[in-house]
Amino acid sequence: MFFLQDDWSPFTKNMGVDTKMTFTTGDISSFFDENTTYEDYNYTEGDTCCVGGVCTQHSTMRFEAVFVPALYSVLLVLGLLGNGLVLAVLAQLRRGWSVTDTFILHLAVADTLLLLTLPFWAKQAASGWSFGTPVCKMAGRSSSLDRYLSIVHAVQMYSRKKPWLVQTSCLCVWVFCLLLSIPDWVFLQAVADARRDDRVECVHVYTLYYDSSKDWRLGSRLLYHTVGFLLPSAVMVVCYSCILFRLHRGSQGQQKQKAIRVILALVAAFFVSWTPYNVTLMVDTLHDREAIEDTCGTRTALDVSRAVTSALGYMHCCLNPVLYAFVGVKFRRHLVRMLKVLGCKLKGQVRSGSRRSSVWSQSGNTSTSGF
Amino acid sequence: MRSAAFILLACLLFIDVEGMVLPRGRCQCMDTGVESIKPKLIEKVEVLYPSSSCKNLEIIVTLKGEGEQRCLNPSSHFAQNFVKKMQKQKRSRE
Repeated sequence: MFFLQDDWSPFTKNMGVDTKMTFTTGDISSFFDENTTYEDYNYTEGDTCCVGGVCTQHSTMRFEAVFVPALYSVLLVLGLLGNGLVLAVLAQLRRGWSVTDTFILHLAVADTLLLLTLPFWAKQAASGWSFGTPVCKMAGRSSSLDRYLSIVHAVQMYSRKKPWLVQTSCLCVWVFCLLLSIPDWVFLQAVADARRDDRVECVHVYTLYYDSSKDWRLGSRLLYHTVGFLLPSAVMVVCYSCILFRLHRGSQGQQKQKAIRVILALVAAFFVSWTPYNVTLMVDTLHDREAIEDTCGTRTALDVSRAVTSALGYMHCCLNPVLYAFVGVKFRRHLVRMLKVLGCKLKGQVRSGSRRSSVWSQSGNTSTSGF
Repeated sequence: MRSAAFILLACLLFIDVEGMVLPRGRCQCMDTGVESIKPKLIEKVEVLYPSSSCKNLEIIVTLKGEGEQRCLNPSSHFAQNFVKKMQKQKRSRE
């Protein structure tokens, strides 16, 4: 229908009903008997070495079936532990939330929600999607919440005024991310795919829009690269550079050293998590535009690196509690107190925790953080 | 400066088009495929319809012997004829 306009095309008859048709030797031999004229079709082994190559996805799928469940389980455990502790500490503090605490709350909730979708993706990589289309539509959250909240933090640290702006912008991030998921709600479906061993997977189904999809796809990719990664990176670098510059002019001291280290860690974590994935996507875009030689090896390499690098992106969710919450002395103190109440003995952490002092009271003192 | 930063942020949010759920899978054929294949070499023919992983119709032919696979150009005369005949035959058998 979309590929062959001719009405006489034999392929259109099964459209939309099956995902594939298979003919085996039984069917073919009778065809051969009555059609000896087809002898003049001159395919012989070897002379078409370079035409009609087939590239299946079995190796990628086998890799994903092992790698994704293993890594996602680790990320899930670490991430839920970290973010769960952050939420528990925040729940204890109930009254004295600073602006930074509110930001950390938003981040922990966003990360927890994203982490909760990991088991679904792990199951899909292992043996296909078995939860149906409604769950597929719900699980298809992009991880942009996490990324944009990190930027809100950077901007807030830089601008240092108007706490209400942080609250508003955090809420805006949620609202906008909800709006952004509308296309997911429309297009995500659990469908079987003959090219992937008839496995059911939760994917975007754009089939009806294929005619115009090539240009649309390139456009959306370019937007994603600039707006989804390059601009956020720029905002992050500019904001934190300004903060570092400000710190540099101020007084010397151990606290300042630590503040600088934490900021560098924040920026490094952002780039380590998101650069590989975006580079892979950029290479993939180039590959789509035929700027890179199209071999089966390249295709497989791209698919495998996409699986690996998107896991790195998810890893950012596990780093956030450490980067944002537990660097603060107030957070660690509350955490230790909470764990003590629970009967845990954490002697080492108490000692190291209480000696260090606040980071954010240095770099972002006007945020009235209790750190 | 500050308001500019927030306007920028709002813009960022508006155009995050592709998230983590990317189209999975690819087409299986590396090119349009061969124009024809000697029928006596054919072991199996699979016609793959357009799906979420590939917008093209693909015909994958498994050859006798070592099970080598080749893509057959779906718009070739041979493929059109072949599939038409096969379908007719299957229908008459059912």
